[in-house]
Amino acid sequence: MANSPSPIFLAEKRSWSYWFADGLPQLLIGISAILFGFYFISMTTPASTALVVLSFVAFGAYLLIQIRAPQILEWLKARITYPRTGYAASPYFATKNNVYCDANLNLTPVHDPNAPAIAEIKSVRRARNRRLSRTYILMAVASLGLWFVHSPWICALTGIVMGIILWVGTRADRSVSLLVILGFPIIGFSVGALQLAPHARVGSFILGVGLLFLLDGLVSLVLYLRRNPVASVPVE
Amino acid sequence: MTPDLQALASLDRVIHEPARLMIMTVLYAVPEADFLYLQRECALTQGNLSSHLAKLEEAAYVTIVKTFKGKYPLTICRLTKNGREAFEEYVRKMQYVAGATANGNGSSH
Repeated sequence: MANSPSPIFLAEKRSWSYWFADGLPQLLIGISAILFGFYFISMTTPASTALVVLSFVAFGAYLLIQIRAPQILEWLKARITYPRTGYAASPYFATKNNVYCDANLNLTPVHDPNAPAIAEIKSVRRARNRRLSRTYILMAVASLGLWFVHSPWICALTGIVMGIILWVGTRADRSVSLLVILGFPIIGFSVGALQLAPHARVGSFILGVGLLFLLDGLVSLVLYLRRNPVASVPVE
Repeated sequence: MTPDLQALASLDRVIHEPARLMIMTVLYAVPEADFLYLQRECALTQGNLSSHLAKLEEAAYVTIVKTFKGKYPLTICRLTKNGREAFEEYVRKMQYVAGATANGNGSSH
């Protein structure tokens, strides 16, 4: 009993999973990776002027998504998720400290290191941030092989290594599905089989990852919509 | 009343009610949530949740604001500073009680 996670911890964890349940974050990651991959491929291979212009448009759209990701997600969720299953502020965009609100609904961080429940929430969020940062760094390091190793089969190895890193780094939070984790080695093998030049295979790999997240997002979204038809009577 | 039982007697009755305790727990873990999310998390009926939220709002533990996200109307609930402190105090008292029971302090005469 003493070692079982507290309801506070579980509620926080559910709110984290809730953020990914509708597939919209994965869709956005997928679209932005596809745009960046397209830009990368068309910038590193000789192409027509029209394609260069198109690649700059893609890069602009990619930057826009990167800068406005919270707002885009909020806009989409307000139309798809909130009417069906309700709104909960994402812990992903929450401050590192716990917050309370004053009479004007301004959020203010709480600084009370002695409060046990706060310490628990803070340590959970800190550990999650550490895990995610470590995963991002390891993924970036693993991707260097695509640039610097000339054998085309480095793509397959990179895909396998990235899949393992992603699985180890996110299994506690379950924020990345098995489809994506298993998809990384498949992308690696596919890009390796194409026998592309190093710069082209980096772009192709990013494009493949984008398609993978897009597929994962679409599957999650369809399942979510089937499980949660929109409420016919507005609540409260 | 023996001193070790005083912690039980001084438990916050507003929070101690199971449905309100669920609501407070969810709102403690999430910066803010709307009515529908709370209803699903706590598995309460609309009327039940409304009445418990009204009691928490009356005790100044929760603020309720009706707003819009896009065109969708939201009833957003958040813990107030008072609510957060009261919940932490409640958790501390319950942990004391649970700790005393686990150590066998409660059974000695």
